[in-house]
Amino acid sequence: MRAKSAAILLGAITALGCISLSNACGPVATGPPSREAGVDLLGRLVVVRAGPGAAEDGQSVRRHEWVVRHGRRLVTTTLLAPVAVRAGLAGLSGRFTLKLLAAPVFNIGDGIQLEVLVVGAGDTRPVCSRYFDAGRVAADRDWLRLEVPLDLSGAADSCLEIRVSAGPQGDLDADWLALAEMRIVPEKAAL
Amino acid sequence: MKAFTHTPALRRFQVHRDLALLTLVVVGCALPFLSQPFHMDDNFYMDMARNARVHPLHPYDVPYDFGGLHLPDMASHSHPPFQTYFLAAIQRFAGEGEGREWIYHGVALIFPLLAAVAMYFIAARFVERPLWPSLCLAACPLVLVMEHTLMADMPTLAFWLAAVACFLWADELNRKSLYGASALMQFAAMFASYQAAALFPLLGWYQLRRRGRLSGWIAVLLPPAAMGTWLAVSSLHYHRMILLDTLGYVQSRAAGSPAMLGTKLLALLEYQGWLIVFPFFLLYMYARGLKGRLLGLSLLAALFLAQAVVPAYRPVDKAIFAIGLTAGFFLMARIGAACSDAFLGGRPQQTGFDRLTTQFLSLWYFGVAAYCLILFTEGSARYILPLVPPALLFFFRRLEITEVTEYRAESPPLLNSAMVASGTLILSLTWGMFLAQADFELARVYPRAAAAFARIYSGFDTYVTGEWGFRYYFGRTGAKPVPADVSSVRGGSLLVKPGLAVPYDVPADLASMAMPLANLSFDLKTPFRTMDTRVPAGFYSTGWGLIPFSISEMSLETLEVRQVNFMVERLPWARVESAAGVKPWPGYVYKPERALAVLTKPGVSILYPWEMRRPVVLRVNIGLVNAGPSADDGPHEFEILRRNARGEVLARFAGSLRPGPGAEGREWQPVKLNLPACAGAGETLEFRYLAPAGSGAMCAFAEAFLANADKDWRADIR
Repeated sequence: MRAKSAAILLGAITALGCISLSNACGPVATGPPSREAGVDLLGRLVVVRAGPGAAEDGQSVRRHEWVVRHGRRLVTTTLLAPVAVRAGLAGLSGRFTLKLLAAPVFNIGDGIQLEVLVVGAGDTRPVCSRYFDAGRVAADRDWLRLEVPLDLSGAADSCLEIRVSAGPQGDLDADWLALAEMRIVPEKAAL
Repeated sequence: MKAFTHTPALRRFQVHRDLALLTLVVVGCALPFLSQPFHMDDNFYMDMARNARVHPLHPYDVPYDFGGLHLPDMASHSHPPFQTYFLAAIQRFAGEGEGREWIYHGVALIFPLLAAVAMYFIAARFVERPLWPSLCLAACPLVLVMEHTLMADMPTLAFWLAAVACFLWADELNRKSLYGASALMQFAAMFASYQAAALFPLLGWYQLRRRGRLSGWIAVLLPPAAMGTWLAVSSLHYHRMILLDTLGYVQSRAAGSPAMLGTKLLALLEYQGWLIVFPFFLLYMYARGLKGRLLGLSLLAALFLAQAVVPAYRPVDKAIFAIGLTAGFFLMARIGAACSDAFLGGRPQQTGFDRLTTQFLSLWYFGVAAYCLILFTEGSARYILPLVPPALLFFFRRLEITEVTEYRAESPPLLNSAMVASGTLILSLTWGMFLAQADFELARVYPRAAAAFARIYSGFDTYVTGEWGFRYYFGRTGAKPVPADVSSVRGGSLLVKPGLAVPYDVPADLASMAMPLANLSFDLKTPFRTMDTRVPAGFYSTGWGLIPFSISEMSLETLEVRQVNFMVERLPWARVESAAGVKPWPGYVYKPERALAVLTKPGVSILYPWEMRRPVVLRVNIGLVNAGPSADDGPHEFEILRRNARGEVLARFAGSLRPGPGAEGREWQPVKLNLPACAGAGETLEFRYLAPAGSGAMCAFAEAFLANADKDWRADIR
């Protein structure tokens, strides 16, 4: 009788332990993405061109990199100049807004040039150009929010191309540009 | 043979003598280490204690930076705030400052004393000679190291043991006052460490099996209810379930992954093998089967396991690993066998206890072992403190049984039970004192380091990227943790990163502007290491190594000191006058080692607002980039001017380089310039570069350090 009750108690303690462990290690439930969230583009980026020696380990794109700017810590996809990446926009048609946060990872170098283009069938349209100069401009030592209107009407298989290159002096040292929360949202939701 | 058959009344001389001896041992072992600097997480509790004096109801309600994370409050810390309140009370009366550590350690001696006395009364319930296990607890290597820290582990052990002792004797003597005392001690233990909630099922089970009275049930139920109330009130205050974040942290560290569980199991055995009693006696008592062959085979198996699990360890570390693992394994196996027999009714083990006592002690032992494996994010010696008492009770009760069998044996053994008992006590104490000394010396590194650092670098804003005593003692010299928003870190500031004390990196933007300045190394006098990065000593955490100690003659700690280049950090706020319209920019040059510089085209003047309120020395290397051997186009001139608000020059350097066939023109020119303190607004430091027309060269102002005028600014200290 005593052994039985002790066995039951042991079993209960073990079960409680297992429950606490499974709670601690279980997946975190997430809801469906809202319309406001739009389409996440960071996961779609693929390298189309990369310059020689963009990084010591040969990587031109670093995914899931934590970058901190002004105390704000974001998970990013970081592009190491010179590089061009593309994200497919197949199936999207109409007017959209590209939203993203961008920041140079380091405070040195002669700056980083960012170009955003929409590439369709035989047609390349620049839609955004921005020069980041964290070495010399205090405001560029922070996350910069970019909102770029995109007209994808009549472009069935277009894609977004992002080019990151050196500053005006051609100094490629530390030309790392971090992109975060990059998504494309229908224009209505963007308003 | 019966266990202790009479009540250990406080009036009896034997009890007086035993308790006096226990007190003598505890105080005597602690005295050499009373001045131990604040160590490991002591710093955290001291920080919280300061806040508790301001916000006594919610002492953890303060933003805190820890390990590079910036947290809005510390409510979800792994420990409730008992120790915070305890230290706040001492801070209130004793203050803080150099040489006051002994006051804190002196007052905190109440915990090992309470633990030893409570162990005496628990042992009195179960064994014939309660003095031996209680003395051995006081001399236990793990206790000897931990009793000189101010973390929550010793209070938890003390309250845990006091709660159990009061409960056992309350049940035995039917004293309601003892039940009340037990409830109070249970709550205190839980309020010191959440894991002490394990007392609830343990004492609840004992109460159930003993068919205890109502007052016993109240004593069991009241403490968790009180803790639940405190958690509910705290959760209301913080607007979240505070324990959920604690569990979230455990989850984030993958505490339940098979690899981590394996690490924690190995560590659990290692810590038990080396830190409860000197391992020889565990092996002698528990691993002598098959005429000694069992021990040999087990050690061989442990060495094979060491080769498989930690192949990179040195032979001496593998030997430490194998011995600890074998001793810990046999201890756990013997208690496991006793537990199995007690619960499943198999062949009776010669524990010397009745079935209920064996069940109670083995539940205690395995309950603690289970939460060490399941709940904690890593292995640590201090986590196993609550399982030391049942292990010692099993050990000494077995010795008592052996004593009887020896008495009846025809020939006495080589080591009789009395020799084993006294040998266990003396060698464990000696071994514990060696480890305590090693830990003491480790703790002393950081006040030494802070003092050495302050002698050279005082006056500059300093940020630390580490924890433990490193953070505390550097904090006393004015250093702060790196803030969440590093844009507030100004040029000229110093960043100090330890090698051992939970180092972490600063964000990349700040790191990109920092230049290596010096490495400060610190040695220990003892070869024993309780924590080290170069050898796998991981007394406080398996993150450092899988064995509780190691042996080394190398430096223990090396601090890396970097300075934020003020020319780079302040460049956005500098006024630039440029003939060519190209603003200077920060970049790397090679001389031949990589150096951080401000690069500029000819005809440029950079004016930095000068706000340094103390005289400093500027040291900078000036050189030309893109100037080939044939570019002999005349002198390239540089000038550095320190001006006051009226434009008067307070300090000046002027020089030139002439690139061409002569090698000296392409060398780096070191500059040392004394800069007077800023006396008011509008003062400047100007850098100028002039070159012959058409020159394609660029000038680099590289490695611009600011230093104290009268100090050895780039010292390597040992």
